[in-house]
Amino acid sequence: MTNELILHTGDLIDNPTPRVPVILCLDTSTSMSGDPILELSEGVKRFYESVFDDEIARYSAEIGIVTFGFGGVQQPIDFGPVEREPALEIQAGGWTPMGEAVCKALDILEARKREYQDAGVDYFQPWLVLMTDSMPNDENIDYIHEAIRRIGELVQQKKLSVFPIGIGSEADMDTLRRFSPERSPLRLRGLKFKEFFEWLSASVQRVSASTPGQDTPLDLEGIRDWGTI
Amino acid sequence: MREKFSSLPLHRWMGAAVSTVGRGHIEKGLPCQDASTVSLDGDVASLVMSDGAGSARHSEHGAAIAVKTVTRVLRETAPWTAPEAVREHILTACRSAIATRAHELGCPISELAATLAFVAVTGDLCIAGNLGDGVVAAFRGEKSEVLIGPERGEFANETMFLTSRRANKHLRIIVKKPLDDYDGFAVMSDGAAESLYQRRKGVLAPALIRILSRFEEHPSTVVTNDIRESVMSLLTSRTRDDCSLAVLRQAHVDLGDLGNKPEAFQMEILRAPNRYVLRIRLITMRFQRVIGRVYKSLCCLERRVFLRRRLDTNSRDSYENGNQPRDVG
Repeated sequence: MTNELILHTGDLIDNPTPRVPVILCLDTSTSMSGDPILELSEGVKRFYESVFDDEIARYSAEIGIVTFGFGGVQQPIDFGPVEREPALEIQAGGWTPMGEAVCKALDILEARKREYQDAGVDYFQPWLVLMTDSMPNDENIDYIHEAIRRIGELVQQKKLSVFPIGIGSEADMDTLRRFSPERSPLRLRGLKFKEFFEWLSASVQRVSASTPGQDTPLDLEGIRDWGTI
Repeated sequence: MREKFSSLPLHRWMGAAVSTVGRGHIEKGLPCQDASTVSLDGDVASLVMSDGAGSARHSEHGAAIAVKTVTRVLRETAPWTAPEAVREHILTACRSAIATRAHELGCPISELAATLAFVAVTGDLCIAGNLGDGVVAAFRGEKSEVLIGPERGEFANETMFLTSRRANKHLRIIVKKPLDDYDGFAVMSDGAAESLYQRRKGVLAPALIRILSRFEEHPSTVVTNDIRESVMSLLTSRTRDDCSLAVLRQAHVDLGDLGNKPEAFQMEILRAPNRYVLRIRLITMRFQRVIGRVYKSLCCLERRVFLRRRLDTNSRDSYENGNQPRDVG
């Protein structure tokens, strides 16, 4: 029985890889000066590198960053596919406009989702990683209420996954909890940013490699390497 | 008798169904959670495919049960005059069989979650159904179209299953009568659809036409082997998910050409279990063809004689009524 049916790739269809959108909402206020901001910057770069080095996550993960602190609310890197060495320059300074930053992060996610839909690209539930070492002090307090309301709605509709992380002992965990109605905030042990971002990268890789209909539970054991509840 | 002779050339439904485990499942030590089957039983030809949910522990059982149950229900409910009743029948039968198995396994029915896609043909009509992210396609010669596309939630890993509470709202069923010149069908899981169905425009890959055209020359066993060896290795290299592809094609064969086809193909077309039966059937059919020609000639002769007689009768009647031809001169 000979097999003469040879198909060419031209006979097949290339559908775009389903995307895993991740937005990092990072505190760069004055209190992050010194080692914390350096460690945070290194950790984020490590995150990009680790995701890029994974052959599946490289094509599926899309990462964006919003910082709050130095220069107000900023977007130092455009939301999009992962580069191995992102041109990331973050400095510490200023207040902690966390509410405004979260609203901006949600706006960016919504815009990206619309782009996916227009282009016929499938995507997984977006992730929002919120890291702070203090408490929000937006000039306009409405931003905080707005951010908490929007996150609450999205989480309830299972349209967003939030990872709230407190840095150091000064982080206001009660406020962080309000930003994450379902998942309890975790406190980073010391300055284990690198360990946290390695864990985050492994989690992104697991979702990228999952097949439709498959849930990918978080690696709870791995959390012990960098955080406490 | 005239109908019997005019049934040449032959029209036969032929089919193949293959499910292959995906790379992601192999790495995790999971079994193939897809199941698919082709059934050419009596007057009903059907393709049924079910894709077990990756998040459900025993979904391969759910998929196998769905495929077996739906094949039976489609045969029992043909010719599907009431699609709503068919939908109810399918869901009730699947859920009952899944619940029994879940009870044996000691787990909730959600652990056997699986999608469903099917198509069946009898006489001059077909029925197609889809629950979840599979694809049901139909073919008219070289043209392909999506009969029922995939249904997903907002996110890539969300879809509908037979065990979902609102499955009856999501199981889309269509009945086409007449068959509308369709001479081929395909159902595929989302893993296979990754390379065979363009999500954005909802169009199908040319590869499907090439696969179906294999039925013009080859028996189902060869086409099944082709799909397993050649197509699936390509499809599974482009996704991590399990892949299922089931195809059905109506072969049109003229009895005069049948002798030029491979023996295995002749045996399948004539439903001959072995060579001896094949030879007897070929001889019988040739004999029938000769008889048919003679019969046809006799019919023609009979008609000619009849027409001549009527003409003669008409001429005689006209003459007797005084309408005889006159000499113009």
